[in-house]
Amino acid sequence: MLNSRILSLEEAAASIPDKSVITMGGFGVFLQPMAMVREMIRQGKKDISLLSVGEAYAGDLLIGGGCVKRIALSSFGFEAVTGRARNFCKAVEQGKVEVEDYSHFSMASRLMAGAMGLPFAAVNSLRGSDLLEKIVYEKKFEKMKSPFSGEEVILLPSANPEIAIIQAQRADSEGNIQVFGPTISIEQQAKASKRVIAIVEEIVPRSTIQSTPSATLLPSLFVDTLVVLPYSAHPMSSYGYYDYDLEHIYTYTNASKTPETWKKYLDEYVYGPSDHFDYLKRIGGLRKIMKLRADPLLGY
Amino acid sequence: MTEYTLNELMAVNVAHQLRDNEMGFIGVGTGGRAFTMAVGLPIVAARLAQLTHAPNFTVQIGTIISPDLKKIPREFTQSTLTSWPTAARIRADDNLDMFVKGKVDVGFISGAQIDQYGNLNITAIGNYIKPKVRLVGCLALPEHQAFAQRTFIITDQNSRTFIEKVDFVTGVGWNVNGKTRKDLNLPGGGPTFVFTDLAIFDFNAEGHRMQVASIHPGVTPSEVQEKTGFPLEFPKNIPVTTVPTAEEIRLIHDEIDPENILLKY
Repeated sequence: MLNSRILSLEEAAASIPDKSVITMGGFGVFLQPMAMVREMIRQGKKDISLLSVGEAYAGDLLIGGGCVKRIALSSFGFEAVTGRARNFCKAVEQGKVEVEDYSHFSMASRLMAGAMGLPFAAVNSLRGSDLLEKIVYEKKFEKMKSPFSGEEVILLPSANPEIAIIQAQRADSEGNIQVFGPTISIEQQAKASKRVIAIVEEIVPRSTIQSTPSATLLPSLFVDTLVVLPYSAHPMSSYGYYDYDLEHIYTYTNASKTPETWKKYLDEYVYGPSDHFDYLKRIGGLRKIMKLRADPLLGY
Repeated sequence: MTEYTLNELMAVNVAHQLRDNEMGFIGVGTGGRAFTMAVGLPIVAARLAQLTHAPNFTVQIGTIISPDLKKIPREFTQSTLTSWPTAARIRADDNLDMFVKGKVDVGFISGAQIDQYGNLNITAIGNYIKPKVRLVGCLALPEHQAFAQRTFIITDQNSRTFIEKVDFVTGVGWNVNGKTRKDLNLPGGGPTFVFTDLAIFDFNAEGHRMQVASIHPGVTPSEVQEKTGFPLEFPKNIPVTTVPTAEEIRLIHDEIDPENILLKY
């Protein structure tokens, strides 16, 4: 199989043009490509469109870093803590970011159709909902009678993002990607996208992958770029490797309350660190990492 | 007389409406009061039903099906759900099948705004494009309200949340802009009950408008109407909400939620 190209985080981020339509894997506090988001902010990405399912933390940080023009998710909710995703909410309330809403399954269906190479998804859960009626940024749905049953169905365009940024646990050097824990829509997001950047915690020997092939969610055929970086989902979790960092999540949500505290957060954790390992020092270093590290026998 | 909290009163009454061999769908939720409404309270009700009249009641929570409710985790996130002993873990798009195929008997839902037909808004307050308050989005609310056999709405009640017309219809109740569920060809059974901190409501047979089913002990009908932004129908003799038995409270305290995680807020 064709080997994926192994790049540094900085090189991989540099390959994402401004105005890209991207999707990011993960959900809730689970497997979001946070190190990549921080690097995108450092590189000053502009006018990104993010189309995903429940990647509220990644989306909120990307918006807080000024990178986003439009965001389409089915959940803008933060897991684990009380309160709204403030950077996102404020940006929408102030008209600074365009938002498109989807239900979980209409977005999952758009990605699934994209992954299967179909032109559209047929979804029946949105009948009567304002989700259909209040969309302004692009034509999102069409009603038609099924030529087979005669039933009226709602068609949504398949989603084919330009770039999928997938956070995963491990790969071999060829780029066969293994994901543990809930896989949510990660497979569909990657397969629907024209280009895939995967960020993994570690490279393992080919034989390790060969002995656990059913954990390979994405064969290297689907992966263009591979980045290897430990704790790169922090403060999110990576099942089997480390838990989410609730302490840092509170630091984040508190910081997002005012422009002044938010600027300080960005300076301390995004612009300030010389690289990802300096970031890990700033969030608590080895002591914090040992605390978050998964028990190899029990999972978290 | 048995002492109980308002949350326990609500949870016990939700439990009474769950039937054996049904499956309820619970979201993953956030924190604080919203967590209690959307996640904590339904889980207590589900386990209580299992321990009493519905031993084979089961739940799907996010992407896991039939987790062991004897082993409820201390936190509810994708991480803890991952290590919860469970029968199945499915993909996000497979979730859709559960709804579309009618496998979800009871959908537990909540909202920031609700109207007299049980239409719910969890998306935005005010103008959608430039809202006064932007909210969480849509989650699986449209699927719940479109496909679940019965939906139970659990929410706090005041005149800001119980209003004439919701600003954004995220999930469809019995009637939206004059169109009924039948007009819209929605296969699910529609909202069945609304459980609030003041009362329990159901929907009348004709027109499917919200009506009072019972009022919690110590609450007056005028207080319920005061905190509702649309005219309510009251039965002639207004029932008082069933209070928990000593055994139900013992089960909640000793077996279901001994650390008071699920009904804390």
